[in-house]
Amino acid sequence: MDISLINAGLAAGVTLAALPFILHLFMKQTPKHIIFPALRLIRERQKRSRKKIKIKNWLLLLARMALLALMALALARPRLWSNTSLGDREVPTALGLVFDTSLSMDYEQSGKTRLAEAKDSAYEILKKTPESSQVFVVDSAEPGIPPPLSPAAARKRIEALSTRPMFRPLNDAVGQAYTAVSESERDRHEVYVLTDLARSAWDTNRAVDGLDKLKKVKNGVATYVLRFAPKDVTDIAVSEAEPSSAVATQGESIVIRAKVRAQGPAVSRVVEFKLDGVSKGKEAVNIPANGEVEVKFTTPKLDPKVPLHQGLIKLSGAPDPLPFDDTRFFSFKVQPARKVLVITDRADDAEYITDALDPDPDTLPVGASRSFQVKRLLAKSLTASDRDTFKDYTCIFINNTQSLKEDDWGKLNAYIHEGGGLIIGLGNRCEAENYNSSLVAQVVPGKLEKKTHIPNGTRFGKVHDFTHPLFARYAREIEPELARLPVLAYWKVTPAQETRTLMSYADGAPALIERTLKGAKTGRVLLWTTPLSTRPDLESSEAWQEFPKNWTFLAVMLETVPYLAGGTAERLNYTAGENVILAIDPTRRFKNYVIQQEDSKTPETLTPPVTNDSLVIVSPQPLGQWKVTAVGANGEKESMGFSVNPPLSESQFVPLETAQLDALFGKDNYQLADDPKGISEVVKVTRLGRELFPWIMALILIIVTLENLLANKFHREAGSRVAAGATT
Amino acid sequence: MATTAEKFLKPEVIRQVARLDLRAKFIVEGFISGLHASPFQGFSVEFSEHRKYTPGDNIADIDWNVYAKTDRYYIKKFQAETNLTGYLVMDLSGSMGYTYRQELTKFEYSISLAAALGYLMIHQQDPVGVIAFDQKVRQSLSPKSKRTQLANILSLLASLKPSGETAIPKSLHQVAGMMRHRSLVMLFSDLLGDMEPIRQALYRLRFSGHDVIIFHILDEAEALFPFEGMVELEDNETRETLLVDADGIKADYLEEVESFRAGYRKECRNARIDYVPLHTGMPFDKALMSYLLSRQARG
Repeated sequence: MDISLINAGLAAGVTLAALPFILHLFMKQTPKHIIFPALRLIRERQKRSRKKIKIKNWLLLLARMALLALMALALARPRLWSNTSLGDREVPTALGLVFDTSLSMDYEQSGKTRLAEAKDSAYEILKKTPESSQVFVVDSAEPGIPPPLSPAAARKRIEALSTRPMFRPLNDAVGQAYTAVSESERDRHEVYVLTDLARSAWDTNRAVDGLDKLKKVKNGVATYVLRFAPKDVTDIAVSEAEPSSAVATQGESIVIRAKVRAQGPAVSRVVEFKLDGVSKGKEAVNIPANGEVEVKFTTPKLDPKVPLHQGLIKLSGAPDPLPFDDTRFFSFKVQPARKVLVITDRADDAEYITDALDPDPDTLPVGASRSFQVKRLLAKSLTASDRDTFKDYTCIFINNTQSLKEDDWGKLNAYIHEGGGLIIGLGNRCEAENYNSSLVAQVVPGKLEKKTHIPNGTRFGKVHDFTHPLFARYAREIEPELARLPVLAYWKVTPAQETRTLMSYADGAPALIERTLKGAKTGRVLLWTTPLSTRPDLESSEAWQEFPKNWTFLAVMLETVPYLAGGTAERLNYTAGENVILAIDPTRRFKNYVIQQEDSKTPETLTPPVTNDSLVIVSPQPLGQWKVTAVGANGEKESMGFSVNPPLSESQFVPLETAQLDALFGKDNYQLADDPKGISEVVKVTRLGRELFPWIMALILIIVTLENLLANKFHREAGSRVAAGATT
Repeated sequence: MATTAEKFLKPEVIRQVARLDLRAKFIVEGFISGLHASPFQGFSVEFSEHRKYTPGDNIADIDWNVYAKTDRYYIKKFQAETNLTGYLVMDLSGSMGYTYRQELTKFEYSISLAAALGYLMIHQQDPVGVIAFDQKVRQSLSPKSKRTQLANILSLLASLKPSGETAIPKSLHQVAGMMRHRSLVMLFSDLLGDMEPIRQALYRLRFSGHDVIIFHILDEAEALFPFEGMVELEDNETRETLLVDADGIKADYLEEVESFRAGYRKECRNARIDYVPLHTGMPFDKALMSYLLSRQARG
């Protein structure tokens, strides 16, 4: 490399660099020589200062060493609480994305639903995720361990997510993600839970699933809860819309009772009632702030030719940020009132049964339909024509009746074998001989041993099978309530073969025995070992218990008749996620059942059930009206249907408390963020740890300043002590 | 304004007086004059102190001069009946011959002061002697109170020359051995040696029952360090040299001097020795006052 000079003459000026040195030589002072006897004092001072100087030099040395060390440390960018040993973004990650797809995520704010915002955030996370990562997308509505996806595939999967009614808590969904992520061998493990943190979506009584699996992951699994909670929630919802009876009686009207609830300020809305797609009424309502109003609509007289009606209650009037709860669906059947015969010796023994099944219309709410028609007969006045018309009744009660003639029992036997239902209530009037006779024993489910009076009384005890149709509807409530009821006397009965005890007393004696008799049709006999009536005077020896006065009596009676009629009390209105059970005619055999939700274009076909008494549809999720068409071998059809509504809890937005979150995930086991900035921050802090760079730089500045101060001070002192220490 | 007599208390003035006997006389007269002019009254060569007149006192003892000034009756209290033997102990080390400004050397300052004290003591009829030492005791004059003793003292003092190294502790032990009766030892030295052995020697004097006044005399330059710029300092006893930045070291040096004096001050206080730090630029009255106070305490 050649170097040339444009003004070579000026280069001579380089020699001027020597000027300071020359000046230094010329101006160098010759020190003045002074006799000074007190020189020893200066020496003393020096001697004592030497130790101090040593310490100060050490301090300086340490400060300078610390400076170098801190500078090196700063360049290495240390961090605290990092989840991975590698800090950069390009770490292959096992990424779990748990989407809360409950209906509350449909809440719209600033033109976007919560789910849409959650999706946007997920896309941002995926953008920063290396391609070599494994992404596990968990839809809270779908069980099962999700498959690993590439970030691109995960994006498509996320696009397809939509809200669905919540029928299992997010605890399970998080568990799915933990399981999948913890099994991945990627270097970094993260699970993001994207949710509005509505309490209805979580089971706060237990921690999220899979926490135990996290311990097996070497570097741990970072959990980020990204909250997309709406601010200042306002929602108007139809919280209830029920027909007054699931089964309406032909030719009568039925009342539809609806409740409209406001979360937020007071509003006005129009409530519309539609039946079978036709508007049947509208009503403007003013709903108070955070309040509720009730609206009632009455159907026209129901046409006997239409066996099933489906309707809805809908809100209109203004847009609502949460649309799913603006409509509520219902279905009900129409059929003739079921006939029930009650045979007793005394008229008052039939009263409680009659009041339960066919009460005085004046005591019922307006519009309530008459589901049962009860006929009461005294045993002594049974006529031949009565016996011949047993088959017209859905079921027959014989309560506290002394005895029946053999002919009567014979007719009843035939009636049962043709699918009839018989309920026997044993009381103080019953004669064991009559009930234990060989003919009657074919019908009655047990042998009457003796009347048993309990001095201090016993109680109804154990319900042996809660899934039995008699008890299934009130499975949780009925046993404790029955266990509270005192029983002063009962018939000790030895159950016959091929019977089953449905309920016992607290002392273990059978209280209710069932016998099934197979004939042309299946018939059933229920034997209560205590009467289905009582006496006003509890001191009376005829008053055996107060069961008929309790609500459980009404509940059991209302379930008894449909059960004996060949099916359970049919439910047609379900909450999303529940299994739908539809009663089907066991005497008819259909080829298949076609099920279709009103908005769906693809019907589903089910084969007939083996038992052929009920059709179970597992957890239908789309909300609305469902049609079920039974198709026979010859093309004949029979229509059924049901309605699916969202869980009420989902329309009542209550956010999770921090303490509840702590209980779910474990305190300090998760990071919570609300907005994109917060998300980036918590992810950065958890992923990279807390950067110490600024702190180290501040420390360096402090030490530089300190070192300068020390150096200046020390050098001044040292310089003053001996500028050029020359001794001879 | 200083009187003619008082100006002789200043070293730069007394330096111009060549004869030691005159120096002593002028210093003492200047001191006495200063005492009378100041409100701090009570000392004279003839009497030891004043006290208030009380009925029954001899009227002839009333000091009319004091009455004229204060309008109050004071009577003269005459000197103690017992005499105190004094020794003027002179350090002959080479460092004592040092002066930076070519005025009074530390030694000249010392003998001027010693002469004045001798003058005072003889006039108070106290026996006074002289001991001079360097590595050991070189000269000594037995204490006497005769008027002729003053001439002997002055003569001896005038003949002393500081030179060479010194061994203060050893010499002081020797001095202690020489004194048989309880005496007042007045040491004139720059004490430039190791403190600990000197301290022990001083304690030895005190344990022997002697009272000690140390006139710690430094040169004005040693006390004030007036140098500037780079200077090469040489110890005139050991011939060691040290090149220093005078401006930079000044504060440290003064601190060291103060620490040096403070060390002696503390040790002297513990040993109940009167310690009088002086330098050659200071007037003599401070030293004389210290003597008188000490004398009074023992009178």
